[in-house]
Order: sequence, then structure tokens, then C-alpha cells
Amino acid sequence: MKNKIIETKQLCKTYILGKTGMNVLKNIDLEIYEGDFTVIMGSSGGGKSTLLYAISSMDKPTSGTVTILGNDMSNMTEKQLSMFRKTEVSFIFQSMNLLHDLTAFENIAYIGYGTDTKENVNKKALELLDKFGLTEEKEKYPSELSGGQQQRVAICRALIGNAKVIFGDEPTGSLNSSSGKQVLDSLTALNNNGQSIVMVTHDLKAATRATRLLYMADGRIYAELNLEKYSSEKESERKAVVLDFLKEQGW
Amino acid sequence: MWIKKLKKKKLQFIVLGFILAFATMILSTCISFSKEVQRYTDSQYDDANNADLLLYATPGTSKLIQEKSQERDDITSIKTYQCYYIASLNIYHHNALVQSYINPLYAIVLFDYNDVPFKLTPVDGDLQSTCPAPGQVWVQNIVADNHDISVNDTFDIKDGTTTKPLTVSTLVNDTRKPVSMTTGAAIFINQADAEWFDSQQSLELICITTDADSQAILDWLDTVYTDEYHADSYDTLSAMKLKAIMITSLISSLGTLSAGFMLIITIVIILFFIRNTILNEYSAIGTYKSVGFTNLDIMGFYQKCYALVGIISITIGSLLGLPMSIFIGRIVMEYIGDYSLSMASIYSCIFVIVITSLILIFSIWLALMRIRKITPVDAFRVGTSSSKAKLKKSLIKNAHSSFSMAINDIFKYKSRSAIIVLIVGASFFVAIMLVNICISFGRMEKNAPAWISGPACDCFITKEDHALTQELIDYVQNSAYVDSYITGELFSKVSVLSTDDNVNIKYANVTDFNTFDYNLTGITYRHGRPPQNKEEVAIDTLTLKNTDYDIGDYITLVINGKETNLMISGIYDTMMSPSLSFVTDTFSDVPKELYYTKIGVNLKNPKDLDAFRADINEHFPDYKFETMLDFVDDIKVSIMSIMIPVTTIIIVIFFAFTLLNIINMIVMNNNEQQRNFGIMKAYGFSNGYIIRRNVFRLSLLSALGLAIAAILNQAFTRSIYYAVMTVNAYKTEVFETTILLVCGLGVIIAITILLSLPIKKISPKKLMEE
Repeated sequence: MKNKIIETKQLCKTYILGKTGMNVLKNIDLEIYEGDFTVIMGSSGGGKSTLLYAISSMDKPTSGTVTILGNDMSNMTEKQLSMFRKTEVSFIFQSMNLLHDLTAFENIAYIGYGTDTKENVNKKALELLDKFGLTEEKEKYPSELSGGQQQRVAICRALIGNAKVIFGDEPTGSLNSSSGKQVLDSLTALNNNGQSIVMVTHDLKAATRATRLLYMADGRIYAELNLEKYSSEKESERKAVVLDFLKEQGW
Repeated sequence: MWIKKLKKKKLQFIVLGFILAFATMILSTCISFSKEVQRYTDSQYDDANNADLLLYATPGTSKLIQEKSQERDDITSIKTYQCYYIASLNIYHHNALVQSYINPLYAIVLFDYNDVPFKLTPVDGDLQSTCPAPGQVWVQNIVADNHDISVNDTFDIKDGTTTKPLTVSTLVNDTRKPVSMTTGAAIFINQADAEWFDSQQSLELICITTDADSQAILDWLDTVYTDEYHADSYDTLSAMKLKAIMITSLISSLGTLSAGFMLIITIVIILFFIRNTILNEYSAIGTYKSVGFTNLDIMGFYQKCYALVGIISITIGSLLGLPMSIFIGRIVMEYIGDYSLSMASIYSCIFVIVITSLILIFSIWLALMRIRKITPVDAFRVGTSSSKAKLKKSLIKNAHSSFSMAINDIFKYKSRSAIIVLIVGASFFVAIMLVNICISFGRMEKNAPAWISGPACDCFITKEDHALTQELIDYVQNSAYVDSYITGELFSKVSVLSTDDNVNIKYANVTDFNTFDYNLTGITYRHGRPPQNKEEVAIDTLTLKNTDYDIGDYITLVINGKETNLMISGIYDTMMSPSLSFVTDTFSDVPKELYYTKIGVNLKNPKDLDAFRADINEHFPDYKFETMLDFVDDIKVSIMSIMIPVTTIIIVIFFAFTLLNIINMIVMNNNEQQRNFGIMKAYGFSNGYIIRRNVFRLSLLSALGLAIAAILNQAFTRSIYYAVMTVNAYKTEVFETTILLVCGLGVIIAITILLSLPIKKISPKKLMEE
């Protein structure tokens, strides 16, 4: 039996556009489990990213509850939310969002300081850079790195604080196929080591890395696919299953 | 496109507009002000309506000059007015003896103010009459303001048991007394009341108009004078004009310098702003180029934004300079006449608009030239960073606290850090200088050694034209209040002349004391030392300026008619040039009532002043008990009435300028760092942390700016002050300066916090939406 790390109940998000309200998320009840590589796919404007913001503590729902790692988000102050983001969860963005005035090493270590001693954080940052093949680039600034290198730095940054859940918002969206594969390999490897990952993507290749695939449309989760039973070795088999699933949903 | 760009950064453009408007307002004010002051003083002191030389002379001198002037053809007119030097006649106003605060005081018999060869302008009271009616007196407006004298007040002339009241019917601006820097004053009376002044020294006010140089006439007059017929004091038109514009020159020089500085800073800021805008829009510029926009098209987008904001702000600022010029002009020129603007101000306003706009447009164009170098490929590749050179290593490695990150930010963004330090440093340098100048005037009496090279005694006891008595000296010596005392006279009546024509000490202020011991008087000189024996003399700097005399040289002086060789022991600065200082022994052959009339007392506790005054008044009722304030009050009040409002205006403008620049920097920083702030929030950095990082950075830079301001003040202000005022009276008041700096830093921190609050609204969600 897996542990629930995220749970939403009757989660709604409404955006006010002019005088009319747009319901982007409609009464979503969702559970996400520890150790899963959960991928959210769906049609454009279906609410994937909005759901990701809500379940990652980045945004507050209009109604309903979000519980992450046992913490009810609606009861948390801004300060508690900051601490929560620092220690419990982490994020990988499509546009990397590295701090442009810090080096690769500093981008990683700066986020980690405060979660452990500086010595330990520095040591871990160097290990991560080494692990992701970035040792040579540690003193380089984001503008001096390729897109793939930047995203790997972003992954290192997401890992520095021992986050229990890593959220990814189309982390391969702006990368070429080779860089995208490097990033997905890194995420898969992390998940294989027990790291919980929740990722939104449009990319079929990215979706095949999931252990659980959710399909969203019109503010609701329409269907889900469990991919755990398919071996990660058989990528073509997984791809076919995912493709069939998506076609079924009208993707 | 340019409108879109304008709207996108409207807050920053508004702030930039304000900064430009401020700078041009000051520039326009100062140019208009100096032109109008010059025009106005030229008209007030024009040769057609003003005599070139005014003499207070003994009766009959006028006739003598008239006779002798037949030998010359360059004296065009000599007009004479009956007047009195009021020494022993007691005139009271509100029960206070007028002579105690105005000395010397002259009463001039006036027939028609339009007829006098100097400008008298009635400004309050009876404005129709041409002279005071019997029983009335006209008072100089500056004197009235300084001593709370109003129209319909009464001057009571007490002669024995009889009292003659004179009603103040009119206040007049008198070009002979434009500022209180000149001691003494005059009242104007009707011929019918002149008999009340008969007991006083009768004088003639002789007004000479000449085509020759005033100094040449003065030199000629020296050959005409006799023991019986001579002038006691004189004034020249050029000297009066110089006094009239002394403060205005100081203010307009300070203001123009400030405005020039502000304008340079503003242009630097705009160029910096443009540079940053180009850096931030590098990709966009590349995109424009890739779709066919030319360099000129793209430069045009930006040029239009800045030029529009610039020209509107410059125009508004320059136009606002005109009412500001009137406002300051009316304060500064209050006692000379009605200050108003002429076409010269309109032209200067247009000049400021055109020149500053051209400078601005040219500077913007130069800054935008960088756009030419951007290629689409470079732009796409580089993204938001224009070059690698922009990125600097962190000064503090492994920084994490908001404080250490703030220090790293300071070094990473060196150019904007430098601008903040420059703005804060320069603005507060001027502010410190102005505040301390005001204080130096305001506390003139406490710094007598610097202002008039006089002793810093707590009080002086004197009896006009009477030598000090041993009884008084013994009493003072044995008083429980007294710590020490000196004897002599601050304004001695001993006649001291020079045999050297280059040393003009006629009418010099002669000071003598038994000792100038620093512990008793606080007097030190910039060059040499005060006299210590009867063979020594000290002379003021201005008197010896164009002579070959130096410390250690001997000079021949004629003291009360007797030639004496004295060694120059010191050269000192004073507001009262020409001026000489001696020890009392030098005058041993002179009647004591001329030089041995004052006792200067240092009290054990200065707080006992009133008690000591009461004690002396009780035991020596015939003696005057004075403090240094009594000697300088008239000068001080007049200067302060001009300096305080003008200084306040300049400080407020500078402070507003500083704040606007800081606001601009914060807004610019917040806009540029919005993405970074969002990223930091996404990774758990709190609003407090981010705001603190901002506040620490601005506070550290401001503190550095303030420290530089304080250092610059210590290094330069004394010299600047000395160059303008010719006295070494500038002192940095530690308490007031600290208060100014602390308040300045406090306001900057408060503004930074306030402007950083919108950081709270930045949501990390936006990063995902990009």
C-alpha cells in the first residue's frame, strides 16, 4: 500500500476574466502517491498547469482542499508556505528559470543553504553537478550554458534540498530531443531511486516515463493509466500503451 | 510601438520625468534668478539715480569739498543732508534701548525721498507722503523686520525727564542697507523734530556723484580733509551693490552648481536606464531586426519615448522655475525692492528648455547607437544578457543570508551601485554643507573668533567713552561667577593709519586686549599668532592681500598721530575688514577712554549669565552688559531670514531628487528582478528575505554615499566656504549632521521598504505561465 503524499478534495479554481468567471478546475478529487512518477497530460487549456500549481503549493484553490505531505495548504501562512517550498517540494520549469546572475554551482547551492550546513550543501551540489555531467560548467553562468545543461542545473537545484516531491512543468518543452532525453533519463533515474515526481507534459516520450498517467480535459481528470506493470526496459511497448490510452481520450 | 513601450514602463518614465523636471526647474530658477538679480540690482543701483560715494562727515565738510571740487571736472554733483550720530540720546522702542541693538544709529533729516541720490522705497505704512511728518519717523524695513518694529509703533526719545514720542509712519527699503551684513542703520525724521537730536553729534550725509573711480575720489578726499572737516565713515555705490548681491551670489552659485550637477546625474541615469532597457530587450530588438525593422526604426521607438517624456518634463520643470525664481527672489531681495520677472527670465526659460532638450536627445541618441551592434543571431543566443562581461563573480562565496547576498548584489551590479552612491553622496554633501552653513550663521555669536577674530567671552561690560575703572575690574575679579577676564576694546576708537598707501586701514576696526591668550579668548589665526607685546600687530587677510607684507615683517603705523614700527605677528580672517589687533600696551600713550573701555568675562558656568548680568546691573547700573550676540544679532537675523528658507528649499529639492532617483532605481531593480524574485519564491525564499535583501543593498549603498558625503564635507566644505565668505567660520556640527544623515538614511530605508512591498504580489506561478 503506497502512502498518499498529495490529496485534493473538491478542488476548484476559477479565474475571473472581465465580468465572467472561468472554471479551470472543477471539483477535482485526486490522490498522488509516494514514489510515483505521475504524468499529467491533456488538451490545451484543460487545466493541467493550473492543477500543478495548486498541488505544488504555488497557487491557492478557489475552493476545495489540497493536502500535501499531510499539510493542509489552505491553513498555511505565506511564511509557512515559503518554508514548505524550501524543504518539502521542488519545481522544474519549462523555461529553466535559473537565477541569471549566479553561476551553475551557486544556482544549486543557494537554494540548498538553510536546509543543511553550508559544507554539506556545497558538497552535495558538487556531487549533483558531477552526477549530471556538469562539473566542467559549475562556474558558468546560465547564459553560457546550453538549454539541456541549464535544465540539468535546474534538476540539480530541485534535488539539493531533499524535496519529497519534485514537480515539473513541461521540463523538456523547450529542449531538443537529445537534451530532452538527457533530462528524462535523469528524472527516471531519480524516480527509480524512490523520488516522487509529478510532471505536466505534452510530450509522448516524456509521458512513457510515467508510472501513472492522468488525462485532463475541461478542468477534470477524465482517465488514468497505470504504467507500473510495464517494464521500463520495453519502451516501445509502453509507448504503444500510452498512445492507445491517449487516443482513447481523444488526444 | 513607442507608445506601447511608454505604457509598459510608465512608472519608471514618470519617475524619470520628475527627476528631469526637478533638475531643469532648479536650473531655470537659478539662471532666471541670477539674471533678474543682476538686472534688478543694476536698476536699483544705476549711476543715474545713485551717488557714487556717501560720506558721514563733520559739519562744514560738504562746503570744503564743494570748494575744492572746483579744481576737478569729474565730480558731477554733491548733495548734502543734515544728520546726527546718536550716541548718548536714549531712544526706546517697546522699552528697549534702540542703540543697544543698532550701532551706529544715524537720524537723517528727510525732505523728499524722491530727491535723495540713493533709492528709498516706502513699502509699508504711509506710502503717499514724501517725507515723515513732524512727530513721525521712517524706519528701514530690514531694521524693522529684524527688531519687530511695526508701523504705528512709537520711538520714545528720552532726554532727562522729557519724553518725545515719534510714531513709525512708514517702513522704507533703503539701497544703502540691502542686507544687515553692514552694521548700523538710519532713521529718517522731519526737519521740525531735528531739535530733539541737537544734543547728539551733528553730521553731514554727503552724496557725491562722479565720473571718476570712487577710490580715486576717496584718495583725493584724503588730501582735502582737515582735522576739523573730514568723513567719519563712507560707503561706495559699488560696495553697496556688492553687499546687496553677496547672499544672492552665494545662493545662485550654489543653486546653479547644484542644478548642473543634477542635470548631469539625470542624464547619466537616463543613459543607464536606456542601457538596461536595451539589455533587457536584446531579444526583442533582434526579433525586430529579423522581421525587417531598420536600426533607425528601432532607435526611433526608444528615442520617441525618451524624447517625449524628456521634453515634456523639461518644459514643465523650466516653467516651474519661473514662479520658483519669484519665490526665492522675493525672499532674498526683500529689502532692496519688489522682485519681479522680466523677459530675460522667459528667454532663460526657453534657453533651458532648448539646450537641455538638445543635450538629452543627443545623449539618448548616442546611447541608442548600441542598438546598431545587435544582430538577430546574437540577440537570440544571448537572451537577457548582452555580454559575458556583465556577469561578475560573487564577492562572498557561499552567500545565503539576505545581508551577504545584498553585498554580492552590490558588486555584481557595480554601475547601478555606483550611481546610487554618487547620487546619495553628492546630494547629502550639498545638504550637509547647507545645514552647517545655516548653523554657522545661526551660531555666529558662539564662533566670534572665526567670524570677527574677536574673543569668545561669555559677556562684556562697558561704559561708552569711559575707561574701565579699577573698582569694576576688582569686582569682576572677585566675583564668584567669574572664571577669567580680559580688558581692552573690541571696537577701539584709537586712530590707526598706515604710512604705506597700499595698506588701506582708514576706518579700520581696531581691537585691543591686554592679552589674546587662547585659553581666555579662543582666538587663533590661520597665519602666525595674535600680538603678544606692544611691538606687535595682527592685520586681517584682505587688508594685506595685495601687499608684500607677511608674518615677521615690520609695518609703520600712525597711532593717534605718532609713527610706530610694529612687527606683524599674525594675519587673520574677519568679516570686518579692514581690521587690526593690538595688545593694550601698544596704546599706552593714548587716552584710555579710547581703547580701554571693555572687560570681557569668561564665566565659570555660562548658565550663570543672567545671574551675573543682574549682579552687574545692580552694582554698576551705568554700565552696559553685552554678549557677543548683541554685536552680531543684526547681521545674523538678516542672514538667517534669507538663508533658512533658501537652504530649506534647496535641501528639500535635493532630498526629493535623491528620493526620486532611489525610487527609480528600486522600480528599475524590481522590474528587472521580478523573474528572479519569482524563482526565489518558488524555491522557498520568503517575501521578508527578498525585501530584506533589497533593503540591505540600498541601505548599505546609501550609508556608503552618506559616509562619502561626510568625508567630502570634511575635505572640501571649509575651503569652499572660505573662498566665498572669506572667513574660516565653517564648522561641521556633529550632532545636527548626524541627525541629518540618520534621518536621510531612515527615509531612504522607509522608501525602499515601501517600494519593495509589491514584491509580495509576485507569484511564482507567473514563471510557469511564461
